[in-house]
Amino acid sequence: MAQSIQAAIADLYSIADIPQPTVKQSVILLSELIGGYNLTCTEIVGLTSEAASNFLLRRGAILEPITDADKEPLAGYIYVNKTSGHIFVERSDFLVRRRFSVAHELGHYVLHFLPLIASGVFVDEYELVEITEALAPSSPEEDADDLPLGQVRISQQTECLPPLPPYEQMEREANEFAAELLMPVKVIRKLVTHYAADCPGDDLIWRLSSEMLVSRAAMRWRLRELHALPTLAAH
Amino acid sequence: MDKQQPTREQRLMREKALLTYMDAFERGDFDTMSIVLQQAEQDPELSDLIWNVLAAYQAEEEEERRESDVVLVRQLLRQLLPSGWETIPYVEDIPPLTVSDVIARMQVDEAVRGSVKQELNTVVQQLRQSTVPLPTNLGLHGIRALFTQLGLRVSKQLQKLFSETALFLTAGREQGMAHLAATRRQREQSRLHEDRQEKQEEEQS
Repeated sequence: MAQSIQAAIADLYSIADIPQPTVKQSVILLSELIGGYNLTCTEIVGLTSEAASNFLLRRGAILEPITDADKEPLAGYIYVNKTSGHIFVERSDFLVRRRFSVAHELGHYVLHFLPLIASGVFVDEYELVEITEALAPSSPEEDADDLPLGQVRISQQTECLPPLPPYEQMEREANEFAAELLMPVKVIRKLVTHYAADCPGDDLIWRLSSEMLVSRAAMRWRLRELHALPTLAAH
Repeated sequence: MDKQQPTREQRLMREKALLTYMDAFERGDFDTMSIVLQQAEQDPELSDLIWNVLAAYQAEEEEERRESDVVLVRQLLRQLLPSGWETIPYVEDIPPLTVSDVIARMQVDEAVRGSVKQELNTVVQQLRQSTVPLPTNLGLHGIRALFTQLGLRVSKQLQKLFSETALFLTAGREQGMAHLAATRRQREQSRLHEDRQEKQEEEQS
């Protein structure tokens, strides 16, 4: 069962033993947060599930290609087994997009996959478990309003899997996790107050997205979600 | 020469120009690329930024080519040397991974290059024979703690590569054990089936 996003992020900082972000330190150090878990993060040019599978084969992390791996272009991908997870992102994406993809996959890992593995449902010690999630490329338009969507696959054939949330809900939760992780509500509200007077309209989106190293699309989505956009219009 | 630090605005302008160039590069928009390059002619720092990103692209393309070769060799080995799979050890008999296993893998890993390779060579003497089992936490934080426990001070980069290599090895071991267990189960079932058939035939005769 997925825990609350706020609680999961608090756990993340606690496990990584680093302070939560502030207005002065608003860029989230993803590698430090990932370092608290058995996770790797790799950038690949021309990312597909097949390219990720080939990489893991080459590094000896898997002995057989990942089931259903294909040549569909992806922005992010995660392969999880019982002991570790491996995140991949499209290297040629802009840095801000790569950061969002990593945060999205990290969200799936801590909210959905890790609790599933920890639930003890996979009773056979030597049973092979493979969970993957493929994140489709975002819209090529920088200012597109849609957040990326992915697809979860669990290769395990156990019939007594606990009820995971529906896939659409898992995707929404992973996006909400990524948004809260990269653009924490407390920091956003303070920055909006700080910059709103000097940065009218879209300038504020530019300013905040630069301060927090996220895309303008993600920042616009976040401000709308936090109902901070009407405040912008007033300026 | 006294080199002035770029102002925040200059830095943002350069980042914006770089993003515009990379975006145009991906779309094959030569007109926009040309405009940014003209700007870069007047701005050596912007020029450096663009060249660094392009060099990273080129390096990654070479890496991709090597990957496909390794996958092919692995598949051929599995096809041509199936005898290696005839003897099935017990999963419980497979020893846990140790620090020395990770060090050995890192020594032959092409991803370990440059200064990290040199640093690795200096710690190899101390860790090559280490039978210290790998900890459960193989993330960056767990590996930092492991090196502290081993009494070694190494760079963050080496810790990161050690962590990655340990995680890849552990994942491979987990999958290997699952395969072994499945194969052994299958063999035992077919043996039981054969035994039962033999008994039935004996009873009938």
